[in-house]
Amino acid sequence: MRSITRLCIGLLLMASLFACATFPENPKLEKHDPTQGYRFDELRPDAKNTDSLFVILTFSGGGTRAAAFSYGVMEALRDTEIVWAGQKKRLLDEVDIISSVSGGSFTSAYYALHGDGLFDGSFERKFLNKDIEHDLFMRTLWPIHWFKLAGWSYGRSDLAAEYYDASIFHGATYADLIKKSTRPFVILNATDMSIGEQFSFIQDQFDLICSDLAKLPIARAVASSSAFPGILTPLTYRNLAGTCDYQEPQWIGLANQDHRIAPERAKIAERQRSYYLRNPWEGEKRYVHLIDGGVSDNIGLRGILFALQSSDSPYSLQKRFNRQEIQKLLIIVVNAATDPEANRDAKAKVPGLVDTLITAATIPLDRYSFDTVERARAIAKEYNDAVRTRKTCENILRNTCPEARLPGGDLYAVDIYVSHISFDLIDDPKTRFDFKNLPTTFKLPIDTIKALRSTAAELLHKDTEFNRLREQLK
Amino acid sequence: MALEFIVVQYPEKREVFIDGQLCGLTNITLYIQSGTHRFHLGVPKDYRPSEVVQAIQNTSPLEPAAVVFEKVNV
Repeated sequence: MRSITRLCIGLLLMASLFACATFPENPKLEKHDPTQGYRFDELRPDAKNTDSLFVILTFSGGGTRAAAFSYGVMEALRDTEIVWAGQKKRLLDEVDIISSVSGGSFTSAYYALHGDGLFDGSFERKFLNKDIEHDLFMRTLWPIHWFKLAGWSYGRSDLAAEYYDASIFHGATYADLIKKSTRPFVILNATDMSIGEQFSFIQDQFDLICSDLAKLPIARAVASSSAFPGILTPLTYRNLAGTCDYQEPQWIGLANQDHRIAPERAKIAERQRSYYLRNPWEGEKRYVHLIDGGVSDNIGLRGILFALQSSDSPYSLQKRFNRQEIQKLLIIVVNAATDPEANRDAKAKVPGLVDTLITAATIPLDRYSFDTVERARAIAKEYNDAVRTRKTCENILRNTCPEARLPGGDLYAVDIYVSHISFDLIDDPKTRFDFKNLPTTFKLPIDTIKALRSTAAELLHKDTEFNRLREQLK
Repeated sequence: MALEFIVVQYPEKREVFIDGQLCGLTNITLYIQSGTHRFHLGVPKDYRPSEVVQAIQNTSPLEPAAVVFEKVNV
């Protein structure tokens, strides 16, 4: 009896101890320095990876399905030989930026850390072919974790981050990427659940909350990017704004005047300021709660569009067009979105609450992803049309009125190619149906993984835009 | 977010800074997003005004907005 009492007291003491378990705090940034940290401008181009041929990949969410599909595209790029600037190389060597969400973030983060080590079998062993869900579930059965999970600021995603750190990323931090100092610049994206906007794991974003990304484990960033609502919990970060002498970029103050002439720009500036400049009537923002990046943009393309259209982005492409650094730009959107057959239309039965809520949450996201890809194509066309219009008018003017000149000087021409690799492009209807009904989980049969990888490569090789570029790189 | 066009005019070839960032050269048509922007040129500081703040909108590749600096002796 006495021993049972002792055991109970011991368990209660442990429970009270771990009930204080809290999220691992994000490191403080001592002083804001725009030339330090994980930023695109700090990863210089070289002969191996030029700026003149600029390649961007975006990886969607979708658990292991998305990770395998993006992995297949990486394999295809590895096997694609090109000649650029007089050098024979692999197209993979020219990848400059990877922007990823959720499941896609496992592939991109692993590549950022290991480069070609992505293909040595270790990623398949540690993630793709592994039943991650089982491992995560088993972790929750350890009594020590029950006590941690009882803490009010420690959730299942914190546990997942610890697991990813131990079994996939082995303690790697952003300091390891800074030390490597090589492209691609990998942007893992989560969503700030309070403002509903993308929150990217780059120093430019962490500057806003005065936190030093260099010391953050990559696993925690991946866990934030893939904290699927309902299944995994949001991850908490402390907002330390106001403690690092942050110098606001000039454009934010200017954009503040743009609510009428450039409302989107004004809105982006307003959201950035929301981290460090609060009005007295607004609530405090002492913490940032992050959920799956797919909630704000399930294909990881919105930040790239901002970079394409604006010099305000920390990795602005428009700025590089104007500096005539980019000649050809390839954007490959790897989208593992599904469209599961609901079977609800076979019966008159009123759809249940869960079905209705999931449908209400996912349909707008799918539409948004579709519109985002269309927007990317429209922007590419806008750039190409601008150059064509000017050249056409110059030719007409030269023939009809040789003395006259158009206002302004020459306009720099950039060739932009947008490839969208998705299950919609699978020719065979049955295979397409099967792929579009794959679940979003962290476990898939090995044969399915293989099929996803080979299909991704096939779709890329069939893509018109991809082949249009390849023809010019032979 | 509309694509706009500008030409920063100056008698010589000089670096153009938009909102504090190097974004190209004078006298060629540059891409820019709509909105209010601050322009200045690279060194030497032999130009005036020292900076131009201008709202850019409703331009086209055939009719870029002009941002004008003049050369001064220093």
